Amino acid sequence: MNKRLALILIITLSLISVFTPSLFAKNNSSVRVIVGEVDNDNDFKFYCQYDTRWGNNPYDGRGRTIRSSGCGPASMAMLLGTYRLSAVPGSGKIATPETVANVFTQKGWSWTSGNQTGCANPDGCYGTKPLSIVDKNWLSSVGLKRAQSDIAGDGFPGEILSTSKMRLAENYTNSGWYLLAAISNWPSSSGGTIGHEVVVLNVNPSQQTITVASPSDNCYSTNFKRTVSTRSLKFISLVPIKNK
Amino acid sequence: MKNRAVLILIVTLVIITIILIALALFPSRNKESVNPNTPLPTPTTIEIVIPTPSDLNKEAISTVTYSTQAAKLNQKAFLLANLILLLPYQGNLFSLTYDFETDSFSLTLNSQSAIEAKEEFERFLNQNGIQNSLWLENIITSYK
Repeated sequence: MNKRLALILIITLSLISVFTPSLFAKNNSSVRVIVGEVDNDNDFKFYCQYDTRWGNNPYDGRGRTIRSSGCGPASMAMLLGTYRLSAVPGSGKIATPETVANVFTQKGWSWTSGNQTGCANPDGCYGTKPLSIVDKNWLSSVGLKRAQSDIAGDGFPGEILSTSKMRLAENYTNSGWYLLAAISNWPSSSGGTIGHEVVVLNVNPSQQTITVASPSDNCYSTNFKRTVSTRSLKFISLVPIKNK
Repeated sequence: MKNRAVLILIVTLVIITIILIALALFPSRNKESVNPNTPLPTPTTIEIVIPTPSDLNKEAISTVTYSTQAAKLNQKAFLLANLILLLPYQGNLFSLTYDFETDSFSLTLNSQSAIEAKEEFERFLNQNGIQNSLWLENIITSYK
């Protein structure tokens, strides 16, 4: 009987050892659990820039990829996708980071192919701002519009938002706008800070926090929202965008 | 007693198996799971590539040009945000409001002193860095 018990124990432990890594050790390339796209939260469409469908696609023609430098197109794809719009009008395909990155690359808006940037990396954009992706004419052509104001248009390295500007931002989100934010010191989930672009979903001036959809954070969870303190965040630009 | 131990072990095994299967199936709500053979992206920190000095030199000229244009465009949008912070504003001869939902301004001028009201409005804009009232798009003007 002891042998039988031992056998059952061995089987149990084997099953655990086989399944557990694939469930929790996400660095393992054999894992088949993919959450690169979420479409079930009040219709906001979340895209992860790491997703293998596009993550390894070249983005700037100099060896960089959507994974490494595509936070801009991924954030824009979220906005387009949320409104079920296409990056290429008439194509009938809802925008993805891949299709947006292709457009940006063609227009010379990718990370380093032109003078502008898809990400807010201060080194990549040499202190300029990611204006390309908030270009009014292009936005209009794809069915989006931007507000006249740029809440944090102070340039690189960006400004820490005052309470009054937080309230301004809150007024926009409460009025149906998303805020496309370029931030020079985004707190990376793995430590340190990075230049980054995210979509701001909610602003809380009293708590001094924002809730965002970041294309590089919470990629493996259906709860993609991340709330961060704005006390030390440096916003290069913060542009209200919604559908026309 | 032994039978009870075996029973407990079997039940435990079944529960663990069910939990593991449930956990494995959990992400299938995601659209990506339609194609289970797609390999997983390896999460890493975002690579920040710092340009070498030679990279900087290569793009320096065009960057300067762009920066100037970008600065002008963004400066305008930035100043408009600062203006919106002051609204609603009531002057002596005019009032200005902003509607967040429609991204539009409403200007009301004193009809009895329309010219002076417009001048006061322009001065107000200038004081706040707005060089020209044409910077304000979607402006609805009325007289009262």
